[in-house]
Amino acid sequence: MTLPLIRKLDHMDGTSREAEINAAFVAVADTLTTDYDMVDLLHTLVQRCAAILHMEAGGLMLVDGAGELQLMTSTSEAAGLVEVMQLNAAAGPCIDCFRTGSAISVNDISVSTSWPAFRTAALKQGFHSALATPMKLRGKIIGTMNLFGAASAGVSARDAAVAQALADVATIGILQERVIQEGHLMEQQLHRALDSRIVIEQAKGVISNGLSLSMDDAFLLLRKYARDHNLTIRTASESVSRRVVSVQSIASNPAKLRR
Amino acid sequence: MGAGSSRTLPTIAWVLRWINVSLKAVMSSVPLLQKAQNNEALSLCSPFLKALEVAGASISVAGELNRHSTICVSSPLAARLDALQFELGEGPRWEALASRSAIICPDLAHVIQSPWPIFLGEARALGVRSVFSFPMKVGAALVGTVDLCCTSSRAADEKFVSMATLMAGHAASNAVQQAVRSAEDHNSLESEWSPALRREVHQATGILISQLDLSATDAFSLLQGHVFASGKPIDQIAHDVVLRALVFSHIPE
Repeated sequence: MTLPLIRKLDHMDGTSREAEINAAFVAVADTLTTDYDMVDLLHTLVQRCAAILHMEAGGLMLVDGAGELQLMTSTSEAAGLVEVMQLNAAAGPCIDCFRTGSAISVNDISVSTSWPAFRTAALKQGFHSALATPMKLRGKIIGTMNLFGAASAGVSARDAAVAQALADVATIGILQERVIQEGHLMEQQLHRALDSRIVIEQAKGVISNGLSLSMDDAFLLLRKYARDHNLTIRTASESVSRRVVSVQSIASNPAKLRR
Repeated sequence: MGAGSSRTLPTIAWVLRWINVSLKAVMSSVPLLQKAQNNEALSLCSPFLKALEVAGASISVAGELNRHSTICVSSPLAARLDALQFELGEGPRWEALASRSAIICPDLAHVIQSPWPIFLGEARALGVRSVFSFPMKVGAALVGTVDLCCTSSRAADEKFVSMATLMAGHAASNAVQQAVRSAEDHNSLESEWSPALRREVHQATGILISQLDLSATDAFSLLQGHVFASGKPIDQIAHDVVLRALVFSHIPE
């Protein structure tokens, strides 16, 4: 296997390459500290990885809740087309990578025989080599990071390792984003529960005082009012607590009175 | 009974009187607290006592608009410190929530200036020597704090801080679940060991809304003001309002 000139040049300049790799990791570490846009992060990662490996374009597929692969991001329309084509045909190096959990390198797409539809589509978009790297989370494959090259070329073990490291970082990013989303959901749920309870207790106090009822009876009346008016107890409580609705109208609830 | 002129800032005399009364209230509530011990809620607090060798711990979650719900307190002392922060609207917990970072006060004896002066005086009077407040975070969300106290000075080395930070993170999701479960239950039993949302305080707020034609915010301020003026714990004042043993007949100027 002969490496094209561009690869040889690249290996002569190890320092700037190391710097590029480090910069990619630092960029990710920076984004992970706060709220961030996951798609943006993944896009940046694929873009940088393609640049470091001197590939033309790349894309990233993730498995969705139903277990189906979905295209998350691609650095060019051409790469996106090739990825979507593989998803539709359920065949291609990226699909095999996802199924086996191993990286798949295609040095020369024009002579490959495994995926005819992929070969046609890739060549049409000007791609002659491909590298699919698995994204693993606790032994489960959650997606693949795929790179496409304009020239036919083999991938060195070192390049494959860099791609795997960046794919792992992408996995951490996804995991972290899920934790952040979970946190926001939990926070919203907490605020809703606390606010509802507080306003309900306030409304009980208002009704209890206005109608000389016990807190328990005040609550029963409040709940009945909410049901009769097709309101949530919280909404009814807010009206009472803000004195938008008088306690008299809570008490006298004509026509709809029922036991 | 009138509420007294209570909506202005507390004077030194008030604070001193209040410290005195609060102390008595704590001492008198000790047997009650021991009886009402709630094991389930307590279990969230106890790992902190064991691992970090502190005298007391309390865990609370925070809603919007400074609405806190206490999940557990480990001792009468921790319960009083928790209640104080709720009543005063100041203390290490509030600072931890505002700054989103841990508040470390290893020796209160050496504190000269503090963002929570009234709480500081109260804590000292209760024999507390060190206080810590660690934020509970889930992802980027801040859901509450774990508050720790000691009756002696307590060096907070890196190991202590990182251990407490880690443990606070682990307690977060459990604390939120307990708070939500308790808040959603129309008949949740609150006790001194899991005061939760202090429902009587909000019922009392509602009674004041009705009696004095106030907004909820003003009604709550009035309760807080009465805490300053009378030196009684807010839970006790709220209880009296709900029983109509305490009636605010006019809005104090």
